[in-house]
Amino acid sequence: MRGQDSRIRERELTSGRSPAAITAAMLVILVCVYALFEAALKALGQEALVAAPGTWWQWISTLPGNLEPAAVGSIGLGACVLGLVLLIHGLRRGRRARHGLGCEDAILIVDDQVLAAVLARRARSEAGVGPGQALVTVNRERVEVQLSPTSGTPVDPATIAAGLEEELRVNLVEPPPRIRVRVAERGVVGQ
Amino acid sequence: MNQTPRLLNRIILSVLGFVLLAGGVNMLLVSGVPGYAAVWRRGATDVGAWFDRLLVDTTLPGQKDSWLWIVVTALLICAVLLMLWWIAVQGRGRGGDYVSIFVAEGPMPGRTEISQSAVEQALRHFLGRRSDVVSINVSVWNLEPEAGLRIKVQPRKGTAPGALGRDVARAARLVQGALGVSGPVVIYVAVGTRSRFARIERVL
Repeated sequence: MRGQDSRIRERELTSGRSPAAITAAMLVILVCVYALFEAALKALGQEALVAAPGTWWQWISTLPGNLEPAAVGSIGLGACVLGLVLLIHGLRRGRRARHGLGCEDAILIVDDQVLAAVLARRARSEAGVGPGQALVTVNRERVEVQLSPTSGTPVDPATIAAGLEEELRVNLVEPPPRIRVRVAERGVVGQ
Repeated sequence: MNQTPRLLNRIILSVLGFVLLAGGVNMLLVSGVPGYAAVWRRGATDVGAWFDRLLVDTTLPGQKDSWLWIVVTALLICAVLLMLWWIAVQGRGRGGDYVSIFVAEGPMPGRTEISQSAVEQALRHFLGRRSDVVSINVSVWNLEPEAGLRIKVQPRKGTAPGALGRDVARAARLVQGALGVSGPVVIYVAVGTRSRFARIERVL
């Protein structure tokens, strides 16, 4: 059962590449349907729609032919970019903006924004600032806190970092991300 | 928890990406490097000539064109059907009933089916009324050997997800105990439009 659980967990934390797969399949279908049309016309001995397969190959084999080299180059560049995007989609892990939390009974997955909201709340109460003075972004393995303290009230970044670490520990974030607190030099008028 | 063929997705995407990249690099080189263009033209013309000979060899007497075109047409139809299948299997695996068993003996023999909405009601009952949850949504997924339960919880902004998630997990296990099943449970604490635009509580 453990193996199944870790598989499900991985499925929840990473992308399945479905949108890219559907787009790629559509592209292949378009190309195939056109080629099918030409091949069928050829097999039936009819006139070609755009060009017969032989003419296509003649165009390809005499590139750049009577086309502008710049035009051929830019089409090639476009194909390169599209190919690279598909290749990256195929090879990268594709993490979603989610974190796994430790839980005995189930597989517990949390959106990074939920985590950021609770960390922002904790940072606000640690620093004694109002809403809008703490900005928290949660990345894969890093939590960044940006704090604008209220003028006249000093804020110790270490205390806040300790508080946020405790919050991560209480929530059992696995693996725990590193915390970086940045306190703005200029204070703002607090609430 | 869905049954999207992830490995297949990645393999086909990588192969397509590699082919497109190779074609694009080829076009760039042809347009930019005259020496390469000459080599390409010679090679491609050779391939074209070889294919033309093949076409002539496979043309049956009395017919205008080679039967190879029919084979190509059939292969292309197969490719289109495979691609349609590939689109259709994305995100599949959603099940209707959470429990569906046939009891042959006993005072009331027959089939018992418990739908996903019954599971949701039971979960709400075990969780009780909670002020930190905006919405709860339960879906059932076909897994082997037992069906999986995916519970999407939208908390109010600033709720500690660990405690909430573990409470929901405990409630889900109670539901499973009441229904007599023990499949995997996923609890997904999500940010949704409703919790995103909800009022932020004052901390101070």
